[in-house]
Amino acid sequence: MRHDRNDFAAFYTESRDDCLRAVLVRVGDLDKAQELVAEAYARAWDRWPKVSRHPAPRAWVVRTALNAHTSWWRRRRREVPASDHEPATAALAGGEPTGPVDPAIMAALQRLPARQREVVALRIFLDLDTARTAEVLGIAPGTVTAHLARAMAALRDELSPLQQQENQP
Amino acid sequence: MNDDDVMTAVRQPLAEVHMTTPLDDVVRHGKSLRNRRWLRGTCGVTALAGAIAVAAALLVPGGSSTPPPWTVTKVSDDTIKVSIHDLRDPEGLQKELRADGIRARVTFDSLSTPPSIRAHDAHLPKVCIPYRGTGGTFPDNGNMGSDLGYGYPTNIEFTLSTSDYPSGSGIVINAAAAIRIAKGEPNQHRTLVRTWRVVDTPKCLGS
Repeated sequence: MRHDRNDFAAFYTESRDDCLRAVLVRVGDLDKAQELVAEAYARAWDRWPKVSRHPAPRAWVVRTALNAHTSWWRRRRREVPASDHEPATAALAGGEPTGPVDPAIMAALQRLPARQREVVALRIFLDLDTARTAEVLGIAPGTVTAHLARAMAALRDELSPLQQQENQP
Repeated sequence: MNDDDVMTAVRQPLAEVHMTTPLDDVVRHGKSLRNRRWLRGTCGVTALAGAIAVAAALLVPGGSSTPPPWTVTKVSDDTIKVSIHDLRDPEGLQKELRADGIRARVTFDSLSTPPSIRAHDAHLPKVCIPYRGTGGTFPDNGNMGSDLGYGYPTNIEFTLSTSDYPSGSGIVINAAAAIRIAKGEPNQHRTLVRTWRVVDTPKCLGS
């Protein structure tokens, strides 16, 4: 058990920031992302003998966090009083990204469709290859490639004007 | 900007984002999840708070005082009322609905069902196709199906009309136990019932 805990501690230390960033890209809210990722790591510790043998433990953590987010969103959609529903919907849809990150970047990411955001999160922040990304998301590798291409094109359109502004004297 | 530039532009601003939850908190919460799973596995029931009482009732010799897990009551010529009290015997409910003229596939997921096969937060089974035909007044929410509500431990009632399921269609019903965990609030044990109107195919609804 001591050996397991040391292994888990090492895994947590070296992977937690990447996993948080990947989940943040998807959910758009830093507090919510922290909560989801903490929950996912707790579940990883609960199932450490299995997770430690997983071919991509970081992907397991991110997938678990995103599944928890989906569950949370579906419950909130039903349970939040009607007067609160619109602001919650807007925040989750990415209308109002929160947190210390550059708001322009977060807004650009949140304007991507959810699936494209997931592909960006796994390919860019977890550095997973196409095949592993496809496996985690349950889609075909060709679909991953297509989503990534569209996401890159959309982000390029959004970010290029910003870069030009920064480069101007 | 090439793709590498885009990736750098996206990665860089998030470089200052760090996970602040201490390892000890994560390990402690993971241990509590493990303890909860052990308790559920030992008792074999769907809710912690009512688990001991329900388990004791089920273990009474003879079990004659055990209420039925569900009931189906005829409301009118083509309408029946389904009441689910406990997540047991989905096969029996499925058989009963078919006898009443509704092609049905019924699954129940308790908390002891391994997460890998629980349908609680899953979409409609991939082998099933939503029915988009006309006929009936089924509230069609597409793949999300219709959430019929929560009950604790389980007391869900809903009506079904055979006219809502014309030939070529059927219903998939999944009832699942879950624990709602919200910060600062006690855990709530709930049952969610979700239904989908589907195309009647052997893969989805069987023979």
